[in-house]
Amino acid sequence: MKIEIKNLYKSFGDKEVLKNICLSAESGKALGLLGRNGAGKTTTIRILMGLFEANSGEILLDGKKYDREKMHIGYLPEERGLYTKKKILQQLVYFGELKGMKGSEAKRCAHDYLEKFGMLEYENKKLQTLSKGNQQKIQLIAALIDDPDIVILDEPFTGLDPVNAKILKDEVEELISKNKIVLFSSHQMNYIEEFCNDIAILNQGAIVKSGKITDIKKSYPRNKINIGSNDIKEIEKFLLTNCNDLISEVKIVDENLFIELNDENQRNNILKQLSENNFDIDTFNVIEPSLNDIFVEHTVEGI
Amino acid sequence: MRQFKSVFKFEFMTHICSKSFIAITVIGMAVCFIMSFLPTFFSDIGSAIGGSEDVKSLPVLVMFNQENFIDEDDENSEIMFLENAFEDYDFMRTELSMSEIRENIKSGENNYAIIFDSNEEIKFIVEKVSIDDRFIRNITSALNTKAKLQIMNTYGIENEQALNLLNSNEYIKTTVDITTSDQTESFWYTYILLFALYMAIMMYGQMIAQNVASEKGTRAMEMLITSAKPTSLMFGKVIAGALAGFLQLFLIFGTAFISYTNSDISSGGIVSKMIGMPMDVLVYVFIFFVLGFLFYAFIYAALGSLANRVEDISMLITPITMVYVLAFVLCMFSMASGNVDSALMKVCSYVPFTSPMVLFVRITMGNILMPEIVVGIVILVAFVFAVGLLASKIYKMGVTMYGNTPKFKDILKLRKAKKI
Repeated sequence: MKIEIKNLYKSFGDKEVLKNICLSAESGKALGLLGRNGAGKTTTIRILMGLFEANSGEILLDGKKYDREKMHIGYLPEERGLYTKKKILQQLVYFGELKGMKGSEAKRCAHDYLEKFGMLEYENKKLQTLSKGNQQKIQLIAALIDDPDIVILDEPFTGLDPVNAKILKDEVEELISKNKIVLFSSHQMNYIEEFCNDIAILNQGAIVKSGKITDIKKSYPRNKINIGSNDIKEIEKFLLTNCNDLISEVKIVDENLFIELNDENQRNNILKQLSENNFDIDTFNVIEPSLNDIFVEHTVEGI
Repeated sequence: MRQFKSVFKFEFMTHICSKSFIAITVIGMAVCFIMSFLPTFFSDIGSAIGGSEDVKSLPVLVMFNQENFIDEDDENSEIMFLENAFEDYDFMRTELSMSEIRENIKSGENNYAIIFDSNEEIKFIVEKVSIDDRFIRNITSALNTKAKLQIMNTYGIENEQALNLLNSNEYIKTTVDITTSDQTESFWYTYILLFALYMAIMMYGQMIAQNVASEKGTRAMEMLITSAKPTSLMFGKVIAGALAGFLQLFLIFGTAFISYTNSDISSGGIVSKMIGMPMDVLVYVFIFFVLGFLFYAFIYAALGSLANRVEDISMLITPITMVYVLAFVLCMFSMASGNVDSALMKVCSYVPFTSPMVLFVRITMGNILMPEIVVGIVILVAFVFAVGLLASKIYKMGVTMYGNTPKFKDILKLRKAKKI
């Protein structure tokens, strides 16, 4: 299954909030939506959820027109909330029923998930008696109860302790392995990097960067090198005297040597000179830009 | 439909399991139950603490004014008459002075004293007159009958014939044919049902608005609206509220009905008028309750979805509540003036904001033609659906609106901008 968003435009009054958004996501893969607050992530998600209508553009599912009514979508909104004064099992069954499940089926699934998340003992407790992290897990169950084909998680990791984050991580990995389309919106780049093959960075309502994370990283110049060695001071001296014309910056960071080359193609030349001069080298690797760097670079002029 | 059923079931159970619903229903039923047995209860208490039983057992003092009663036989015949007519009472001739008699009554030694000033003038001395005290009335009536008999005898009419004459009241049968609805008959049940309708819409309308606002406040609404169709949610919620309200009224009025029919006071008064209410009135109550409730509840629910917090509701719903209260006041004034078919009321029969109450009042108390009722109901039904669909859209839009509570003109603007 493949979902494609093509040339989506949306404005509220005079304010254009989405400009020519193009995205695609496939089964068994997670797409990360990145962007600063107000960049248009939630609006895009809400159009997918059928809460808003786009001004123009189209959404296709396997090449055909996407019909929200026929889709099973599990949605974890950024703003969490369920019925605080209702019993947990009761409201999970209610959400299951709303999504078209039979009462008994919804009860069984809710039960299974509660057991999986180690929360079976709370099934007859009111939601408000639970901690924030546990409430979030209940909300995730409400989103996933009907085994949806598409899962949209808006900032799923905020407010979770490491143990709960691990549970959620395992669940997301399982969803991906079960061939679901996972749409992931987060500010926590480490999680995006962990799950998502593809990302789309939104800034001021437009996509400023999108594609496979590995490809995006490779598209950056590979001229930053990290060298690990016992002789870094000697290496630094050697490079400054013999290779000064090839290098724009040399510095020692955390007992490693950081070099920035004028030309990325000179990497082998440097490595060759160092080995010819018998320097004892432990590691010699290209420093790729982190997702965080890429994100900041593309969104620094945001809202 | 399945979603609607789920929403309906969930909301209905939420309503009837809520503490306020249970409390109001139980208190309402209890009040009706107690009220219906209160009069019996009081009379029982009255007898238990020395009421009628003791009154009967104490001798009734009888004194004759010696200036007018010279013949002792006359006095004896009066006492004989009283003893025969009122076997429960013991009549005792007395020679005490007036002040002594008064003293006796005051001290509770005797309850009643009858002073025969002459054959035509009788004076009673009692400590106090209670409302249900029939003693004085009955004695007076008996003595009157006796006097009339004596007069008839002097005209040569036999005792038996004279008694027949006196006892039969109905030589001429009268009936009253009223060309319009009998307003005195219908006034009270219309008043009570109108008030019940008013209270139910007010109470449940606000409850629904609060319910929606709290869903928005706890952010459950975004989950709901992305899980189910807004029309299913809106119609499920509102119809569940209407049914819960109807159930509550049914339980309270049902208790009242059963209690009153089983109690001693079921004859006469407002209650018997309520019970004797024509069946078609009940059908109209049902129709207007359902339509009026749905109409207002949809509006309240839509307004609730625009509130950011439960506290914002009162501000949002005030204008619509004002319209509603005005409709109620209009009906009340028209009922009080007796002219429920005024031009204003006729116009209001077609305005959905006022028609549920106005039509109901005109049907029970005025002269309304069938076509007018049908047109009024058709317009109301059409508006209920239109408002329901609009409310669903506003509800859907409301979920994404946080921040300042929108004003009415903002909603219109958004509608124009086709955001919803």
